[in-house]
Amino acid sequence: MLFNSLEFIIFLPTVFCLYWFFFQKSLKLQNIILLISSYVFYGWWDWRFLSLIFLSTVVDYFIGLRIYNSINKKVKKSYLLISVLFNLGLLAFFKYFNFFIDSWIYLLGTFGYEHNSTWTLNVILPVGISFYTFQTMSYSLDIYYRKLKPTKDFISFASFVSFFPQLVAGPIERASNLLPQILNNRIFKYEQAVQGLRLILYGMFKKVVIADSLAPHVDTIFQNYTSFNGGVLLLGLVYFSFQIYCDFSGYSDIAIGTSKLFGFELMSNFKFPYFSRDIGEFWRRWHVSLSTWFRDYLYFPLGGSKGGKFSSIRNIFIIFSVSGFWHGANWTFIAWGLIHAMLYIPLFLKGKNRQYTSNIVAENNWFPSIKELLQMSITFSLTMIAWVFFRSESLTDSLQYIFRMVNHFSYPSIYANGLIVVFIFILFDWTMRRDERDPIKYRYKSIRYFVYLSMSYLIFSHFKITDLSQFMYFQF
Amino acid sequence: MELFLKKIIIFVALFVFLLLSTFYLNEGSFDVRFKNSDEINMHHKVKYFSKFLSQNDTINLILGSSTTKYAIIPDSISSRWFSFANASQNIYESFKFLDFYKDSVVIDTIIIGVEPFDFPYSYIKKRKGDTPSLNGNFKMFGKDSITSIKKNLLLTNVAAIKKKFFYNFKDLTQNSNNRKKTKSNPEILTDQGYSIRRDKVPINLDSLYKIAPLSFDNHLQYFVNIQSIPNFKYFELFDSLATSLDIKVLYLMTPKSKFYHKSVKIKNYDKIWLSIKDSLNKKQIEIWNYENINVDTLSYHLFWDETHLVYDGARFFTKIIKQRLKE
Repeated sequence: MLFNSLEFIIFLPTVFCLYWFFFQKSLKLQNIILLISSYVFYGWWDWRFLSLIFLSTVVDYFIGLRIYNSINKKVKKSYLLISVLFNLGLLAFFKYFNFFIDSWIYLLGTFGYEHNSTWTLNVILPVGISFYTFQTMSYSLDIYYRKLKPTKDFISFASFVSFFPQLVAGPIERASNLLPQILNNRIFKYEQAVQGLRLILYGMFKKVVIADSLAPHVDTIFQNYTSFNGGVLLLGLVYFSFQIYCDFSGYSDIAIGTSKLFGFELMSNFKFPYFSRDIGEFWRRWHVSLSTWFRDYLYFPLGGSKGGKFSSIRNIFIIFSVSGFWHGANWTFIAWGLIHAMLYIPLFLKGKNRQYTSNIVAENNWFPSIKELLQMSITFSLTMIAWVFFRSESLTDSLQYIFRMVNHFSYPSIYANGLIVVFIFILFDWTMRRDERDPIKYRYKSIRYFVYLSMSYLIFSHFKITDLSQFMYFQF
Repeated sequence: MELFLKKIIIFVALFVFLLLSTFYLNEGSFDVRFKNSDEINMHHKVKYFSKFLSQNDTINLILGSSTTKYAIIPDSISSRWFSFANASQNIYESFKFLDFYKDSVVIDTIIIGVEPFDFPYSYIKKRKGDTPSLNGNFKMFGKDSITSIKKNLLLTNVAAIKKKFFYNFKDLTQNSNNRKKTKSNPEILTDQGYSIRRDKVPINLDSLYKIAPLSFDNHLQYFVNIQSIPNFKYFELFDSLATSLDIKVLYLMTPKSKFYHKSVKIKNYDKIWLSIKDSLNKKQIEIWNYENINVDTLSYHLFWDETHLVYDGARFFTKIIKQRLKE
């Protein structure tokens, strides 16, 4: 089920009513409702893949208990290994199998061995598999590292794995944050619910109004990039940068907002990344749940930045390339990750990678300073160039796109009017930048209601009734 | 909770008032009845077809659903060809059409596209939304329990109202030249019944698949109500009528992209489709199967989605059909 579908408009209030009006007094029943709703939500797409989630749930539930109860370190490690191999195995089979086979055949071909692929499988990629496998893996890892006690309540654990607001496109929750909330009573809080609705509204606005309006331009420009001049290609890149941001952060906002309606607090996933002043800050604001996952479960175990410059650089390259690869079985994603690694390392070597860790740009001012504006523009331009690799079909296409953009640059006579959409969105995003968890929090009620109604109107007029558009991050 | 619900009700009331006001200010009334574009196109087509009949004693026809409608340009074959292929038109509706006109004109050859939804166990029972596919406007050729099935047009009408009366950024982002055109019916009809879709542009399927693979599963609804032993009742109705009228019928499978075949295979529908094709091959009929032609000859820029050809694709494919007809 998609958030931007009529089904969800009926599904959400129904579950909300059942949850708060009929089963409010029993935590167990509330969790059962959550579990059933989550399975319905996911099964709406393809019920056959519910078995994968269930399998992943069962395996990690029992392994979690075994890891915790084992005294012998080796046994603990073996159980952890089973969990990691199982989850990565699911990913490898459903997401990367064909990629490895194709790459292998290509490699053989370069050495003169022609080989027709008989191994390539017609495997459909189960929606959200990268998200829920990482979530369950973190559960086992946290128990192994003694950060968490496993739960014996299977229903609660299954609800944690399949929690519908964030099941298919994150945020990738940590068991240490979400599981205790599932295990404890929830109380309806007015403020929290209002914040939730505001997040849902803003998330819908980003996805339905901004991302989907830019999508046709982006598709046309990227699919026919050899026919356009550099100016149009630059526009395509700007539009894609905002399309992917609005698409993905829109989903996260709706996920976090929906969770708030049920009394849950999920972690933030996007903190206005395009207002970052350097790449380091960008990565603390973009897809936070994934980057911190890699930081905690890959970068730190590899030694982080403690083992000298060489090993630190090696570790940075590893996490960025793995992060790229996580997005999809294509060399373009790996290239995207590596470019970000190369942009990040100079800051790291200068020791400036953590200079903007807390506050957002121009936190107490209406406008940024000239310096900040320049910093944001440079950071945005760098991330934008990297997006070429993310969006293009192949590495060759990516390089040709950039080459053509630079060498055939002239004023774009078409498609420039999409910039108005981008401009309107930047204005909104700028005014809300102080708190990503509670947007549209204007001081005056009249302004708030004006924004609510305007956004709702635009969502209604852009909402696709008969031909839905999926969220991009579903397949990652 | 009370305050929360109260505020939601107030907001929803305000929002509905805003929508109704916008609608009323634009239209001056709440009494708006929409005809869906399929119905409008159908009426145009019937008019064009009547004119075509008056000019020709013997004709050739192209029938089928949208995959055929957009795949063959009758005007490019010869002046005696007319395409009465329409969106979602199934073989039973083609039968009704043929039955209606059987005494009005001599038909020499029919090319009819066949799709999985021509073989459902029922068009009436266990319908899922608007599937198994039917055009829904064929009661003008004879009312019965199938042609009288009403398509659920509520959502289509809401979409049409939204498009007409409510501001959309697409109006802003589209080139100003195209803006007016897409507000109205996006199809242009030729004298011989070919429809050109102005709003459909060729896409790089590989490129789009990378970013949105789930956009490639619309055609799975072709298989609603199709069982492992397909129902040939509707097919036989059409075929026996055509045979009795001494019409040469060419059963056509139009080009499909690799993504079509891929998702059909993943869903295990390929076995059903294979069984349909096996059964068809055993009959004394002529089948022109081009569903895999794209692999070698049709490049991505000839499709607008996984099953439909754009104008350039239709030109390319019509040449092939024309050549084969000559042979």
